Amino acid sequence: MDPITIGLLALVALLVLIGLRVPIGVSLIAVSVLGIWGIAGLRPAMSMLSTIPYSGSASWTLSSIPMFLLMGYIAYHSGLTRGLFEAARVWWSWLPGGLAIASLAGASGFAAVSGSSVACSAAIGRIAIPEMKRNNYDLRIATGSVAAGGTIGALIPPSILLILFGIQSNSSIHALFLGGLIIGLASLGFYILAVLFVWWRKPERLPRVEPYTMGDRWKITLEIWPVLLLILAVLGGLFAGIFTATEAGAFGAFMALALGLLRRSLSWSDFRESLVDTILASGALFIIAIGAGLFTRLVAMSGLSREVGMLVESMGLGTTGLLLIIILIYLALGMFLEPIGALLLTLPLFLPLMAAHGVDKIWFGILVAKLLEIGMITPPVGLNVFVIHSVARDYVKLEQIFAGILPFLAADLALIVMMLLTRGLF
Amino acid sequence: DTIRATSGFGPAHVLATVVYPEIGTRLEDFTEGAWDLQDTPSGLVAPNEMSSGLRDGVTEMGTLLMPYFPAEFPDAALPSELSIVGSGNLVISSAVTEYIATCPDCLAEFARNGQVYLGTDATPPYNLLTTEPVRSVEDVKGMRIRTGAPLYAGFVEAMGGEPTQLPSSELFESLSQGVIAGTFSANHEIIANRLGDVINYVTEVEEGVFNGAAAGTVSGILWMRMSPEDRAALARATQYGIAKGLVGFVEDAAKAREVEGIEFIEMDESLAAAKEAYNEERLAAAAGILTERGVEDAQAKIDRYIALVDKWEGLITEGMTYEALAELRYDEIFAKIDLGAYGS
Amino acid sequence: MRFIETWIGRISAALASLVLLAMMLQIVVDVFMRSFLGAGFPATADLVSRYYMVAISFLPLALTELHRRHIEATIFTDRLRGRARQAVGYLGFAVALAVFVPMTWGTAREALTQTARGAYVEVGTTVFPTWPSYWILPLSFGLICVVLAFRLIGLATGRFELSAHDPLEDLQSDAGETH
Ligand code: NA
Ligand code: NA
Repeated sequence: MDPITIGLLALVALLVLIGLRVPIGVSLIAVSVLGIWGIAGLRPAMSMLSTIPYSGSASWTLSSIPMFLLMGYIAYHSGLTRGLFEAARVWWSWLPGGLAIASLAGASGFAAVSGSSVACSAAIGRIAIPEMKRNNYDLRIATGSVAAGGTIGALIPPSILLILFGIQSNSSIHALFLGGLIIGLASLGFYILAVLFVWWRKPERLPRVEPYTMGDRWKITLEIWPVLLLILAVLGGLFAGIFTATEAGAFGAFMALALGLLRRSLSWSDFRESLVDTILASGALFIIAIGAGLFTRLVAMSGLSREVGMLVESMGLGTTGLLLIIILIYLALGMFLEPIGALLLTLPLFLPLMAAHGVDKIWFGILVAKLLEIGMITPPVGLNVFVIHSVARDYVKLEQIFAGILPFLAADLALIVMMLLTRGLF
Repeated sequence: DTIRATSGFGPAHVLATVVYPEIGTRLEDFTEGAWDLQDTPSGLVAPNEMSSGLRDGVTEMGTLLMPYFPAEFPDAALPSELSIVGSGNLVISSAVTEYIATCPDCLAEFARNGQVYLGTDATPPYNLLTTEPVRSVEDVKGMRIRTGAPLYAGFVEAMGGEPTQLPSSELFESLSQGVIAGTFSANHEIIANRLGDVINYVTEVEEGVFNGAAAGTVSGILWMRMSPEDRAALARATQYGIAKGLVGFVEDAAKAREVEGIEFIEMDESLAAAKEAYNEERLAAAAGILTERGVEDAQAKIDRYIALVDKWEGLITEGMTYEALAELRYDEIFAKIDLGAYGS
Repeated sequence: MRFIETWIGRISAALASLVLLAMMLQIVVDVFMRSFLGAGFPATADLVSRYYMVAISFLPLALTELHRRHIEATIFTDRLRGRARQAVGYLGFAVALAVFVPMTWGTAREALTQTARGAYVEVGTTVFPTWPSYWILPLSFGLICVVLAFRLIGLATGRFELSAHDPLEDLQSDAGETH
């Protein structure tokens, strides 16, 4: 069998295994190893199985994920975040879907701290979902808004994805960051519209919060000083250059712990629960990340991506047609691959094509980042959805979260159409 | 037959844009189409997986970064320890390649790890790339500077600065946020890694080069499949690729001077004195460091390497084309080796 | 069997908790030392990436299975009952075992190799050994293999049943109705 066929078969096998309730991480690993075995032989397959778990996990940059998870869990278990949503509730009560919008806005704020969208979803998810549940929000829209909000994390700077694109395409990272900021805020705007649209069609899913008096508002707002202090310390330290985006996670967890102890709101069992919750979420997530890494290797080895690139080139399309095909390809890749792997695999194919058609590199970089981030919330492999599932699995099923994503996916597609229509203006 | 190669540093790196395409073209040419090469610049094998990837045939040819595998290649890493010797990357790359290809202990290390060595590249000299000007040693004091190899960490420390290690993925951000005030890097990175956006000054201390990237490392599994003639063709093609890359580095370094908003500062006497003192100390200590790592007869090997650098200083001429350099490297090094027996 | 499961859970939770706290404290101490003393805590980035991150990524695997927290898509199999559901259970655990047994073996072999050559990295001007960190993998994968084998035995003897809903859900969920 030729490598391309093996690559395609692997895709099908992956879907079948996941459909039959084989754990997703295990499915990815099994399919990748069999595929690599088929293409290159048993020895390379065993070699990858033995070395990639180590090389893939032994990463300084990844350490921000468990640290931001821990920060979120401690803040949640010690009641630090309860006040935050009280405050959001009193201030946004006039808006339909106020809590969902508040968590989207919160995710955008968090995005300024975190370079990865998984960390962003994890931190906001643990805080926001229980609050929305308490207010009788429909859990689909509640979880969907946080999973989608997380994708803003890799658009608003700092962004690991945009830095990598800048290096690979030799374009200005400052310009990419500025573009990322614009598209991140535009995503926030479109997501808010999606919430309002859901409210317009199904108002019962987003029950309105009782209005408050001005006095209540300030009283409740004053109670959230610990959270504001936490965010200020993390953001302040980051922008003052005291620590990097990676270190910010550990610092945030430490701050949350210190605040919980100082306010005497973190009991021994809260503390233990925070640790176990973080451990379980890590156990569920990293094995999938390793699986996705292995699957990226299989795709690279099969030449599937190269073949697709040549196919697109041979179609001889105009610029718009070409962009549409590339958008579809990225949406399809995003269903299965993690963003950094997909980015590195595809840039060598598409950058020369884009240059030949005179498409601006910065604009293309922002588009690719946006498309890959959409992949974080599309089935079957949507890491943001998985992380939300791991923090909220006591009351929501995976497929319910994927259903909750739909309005936000529609908003994303609308945003991409907007980007295409305004391409010449930037 | 197609070689499954992994240049390993992403599609925009000189290795992927210049070196590996050139190796592929020349290989096809020298073997009259019997062999070609397909590079997957990233996604298949990461730099820190390269040694096992080549050993087990995940990839068949790739760039092996010596500093990532100090325990596997103590002898072959000897030239890295001496990267302060020599003036330009053309000379140093050629001297390193000749040294390793004719050093039995180094070749034994490659064989033990299932690999075959065909050449090393070298960057232009390293400078201080900073956000605040460094005009004398005084300015380095207390400055937090990112360093790659231990050699540079030692130099920064000797000048009273504060060396820090950071993954390259965090370099750009750390510079722009002021977590670090500078980096010890070569000028071509101003172009290749977009550092021009975040640094304002280059102090040209020209302290050594990076010569630890064995850009032409071949899997033993592939080598066994090749006839002596095929092996010769691959060895020769690899010299073309590396030579073209060396010239590309130099061109990028020259382009860096045209980037707006960067001041290039010549080093003053205090910096020159610090560099000289450090280099003397370093050279004197090198034999001890290498012996500690398990290198036998370290001083004799150091002397041999330095003699090879002198030899190549004499062989390489101003304005030499990359084709001429490639042929010279092949004639001087691999044409003299029995490639039927090499690598086993 | 239950006794062994309990201890696997306790030990891996305790170890992973220690690693989490150590990672947090060390990064914070590193930042403080860098800011106030001029030099950071030695080898922080290498200790975090090669020891703490490897541990936090894989030590929880067995515990995560004990809590039935590995991520699965249940949408197509929820309606299955009886034999068919039983078969889905066998398939999931068998494929997982088929993945984790070779991973245990392969990473143990890799750990032996790295130990034999005394793998290390150079940090600044000192040497930092990394070979012990390779042993975290076979240990973690071995633990989940044990748990998975128990799951298969449990399925065969009827002591374990694959439920659409998580057994923990009924215990932990504080608010009964969600919709
Ligand atoms: Na961000
Ligand atoms: Na996806």
